[in-house]
Amino acid sequence: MKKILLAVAVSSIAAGSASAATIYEKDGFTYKLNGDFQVQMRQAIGNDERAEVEYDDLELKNYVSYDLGNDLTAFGRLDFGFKKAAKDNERGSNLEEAYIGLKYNVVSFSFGKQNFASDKFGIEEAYELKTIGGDLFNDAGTDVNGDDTLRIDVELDNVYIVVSHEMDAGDDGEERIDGEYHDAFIAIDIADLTLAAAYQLNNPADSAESRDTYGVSASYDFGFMNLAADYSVIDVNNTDFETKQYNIAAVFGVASTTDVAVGMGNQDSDENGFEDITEWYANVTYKFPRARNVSVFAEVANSDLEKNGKEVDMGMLAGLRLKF
Amino acid sequence: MPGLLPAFLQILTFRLSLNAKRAPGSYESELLEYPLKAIVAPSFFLVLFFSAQALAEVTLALGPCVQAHVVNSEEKTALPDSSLTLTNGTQQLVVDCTAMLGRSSDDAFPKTGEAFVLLFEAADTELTLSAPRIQTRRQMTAFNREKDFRLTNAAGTPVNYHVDVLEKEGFQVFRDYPGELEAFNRTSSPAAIRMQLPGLADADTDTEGPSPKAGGQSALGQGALGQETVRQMLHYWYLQADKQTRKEWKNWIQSSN
Repeated sequence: MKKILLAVAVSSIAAGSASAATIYEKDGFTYKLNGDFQVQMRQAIGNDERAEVEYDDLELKNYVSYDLGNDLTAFGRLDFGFKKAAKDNERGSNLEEAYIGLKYNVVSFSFGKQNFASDKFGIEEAYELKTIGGDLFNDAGTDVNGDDTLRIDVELDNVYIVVSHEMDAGDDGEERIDGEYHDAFIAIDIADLTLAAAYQLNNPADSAESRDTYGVSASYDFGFMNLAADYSVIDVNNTDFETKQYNIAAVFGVASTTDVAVGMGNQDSDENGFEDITEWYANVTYKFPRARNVSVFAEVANSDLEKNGKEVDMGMLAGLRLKF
Repeated sequence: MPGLLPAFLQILTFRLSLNAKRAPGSYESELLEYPLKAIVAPSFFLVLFFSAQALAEVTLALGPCVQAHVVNSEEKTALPDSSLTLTNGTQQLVVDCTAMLGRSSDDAFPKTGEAFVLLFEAADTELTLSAPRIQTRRQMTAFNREKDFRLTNAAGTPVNYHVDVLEKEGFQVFRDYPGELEAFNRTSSPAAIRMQLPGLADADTDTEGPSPKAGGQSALGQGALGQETVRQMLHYWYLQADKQTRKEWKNWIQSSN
């Protein structure tokens, strides 16, 4: 699940929590600890799916920085995820991000295991999507963080630019990153309008085939609601086939504590025999007034996908989320 | 007018007690007369007093991200979008602002800015204290630097205030805001309330107490109690102190920095 840009306006609803992420701060050294715990009761979209407890996020994020003077800061991040340990009964945690870098004024450079630039793309507002991904950058196989990634972030007042490069290093393991990835992302805020674009070029290892993925998105904050749409395309160079996906989503602030989101996504391909898939969802999120980073939520979703000639059943979930 | 109804009931009770006194042949009324008068009469004036006090107050509404931790030296938590009732006079608050920052709801985590001390004068008014809209880390950094709170009355007119950062080094969790504010008030910050040192009332008579006007300076640094006097007194009392007291004093200085 990835919720980008559209949620900016939603996130502007300030949290009324005493919890500060900063644990220790002295002589230019800062240690911050964030956490994101989200557990759901979920019956996924499908045929004869069973209800189960799902762990969407169980993360601890550690951030340290040193102020080096003259607007220069050294920083490092180490994020641990525990959802696989909880769900699959694996021992220990999963290292989700591990990188280090330098920040000068508005520009930061980091390297290590981290998200690609295009990970910032997408507007969908679902808690879970089952039959399609959030956008085609998810489908490009980059949901797993790169572990040989160089990245530059430039954060200006109204413009955010990220470029990243995943080196073609020899990786082992089931979730290894295959080949090189070059990514770029830009978002521009013009008053209440946010425009964004992303591009990714993937050169798989030991293959002449390359793959281009690009996307554009727009969202507008009307005050009482936020409306957004995105469109992304994957073009595999040695074929004539393109895969396309669009998403539309709207978030309504029905009360100071309650947001309602509705949205849909459609994926289609030129590939012979591919039938387009449409998935829609509606969810409600209630943030507790005394601690708005604690929320309860519920969602229903459905898809026109057919499995074995039979339409899939509607999915639903309800859960609790704590962030600090 | 919350005190008017109780005041009316007290007046009614008082009148009934007087009528009871005049009832002929009523022994019970005689017995009740003096205790009732002794209880009711003072409480009547108390009610009137507090009714008058109820009017002499300030209502302070907090904006979407502003949270109060200390209100006039007392530890008191007031959440964003709530309101505080303050008595007229000098107001000193410790507040901060927490916002969910990040470019997506998944990426967003609560970020609390600096803790600030605000000092202002207010009487018989309704005020609103708000921070600028903060959506990015850059905006939070700018807010921490600029300290650009907006304090306005019901008409939207800005009200002058002093503001300063309540700095704390080391562990940031479980902060002792009242204790930190006490130490802060011994500094020369414009947002500090001058400490009234015992036995120094005479030296202080030509100042008018805290004067939280925009651009003003702390009375401790600029008033009659000049730094030269402070220096001499610190020197004098340090020489008077025994070894243990000096050690405690040094520890206190260390912890106050």
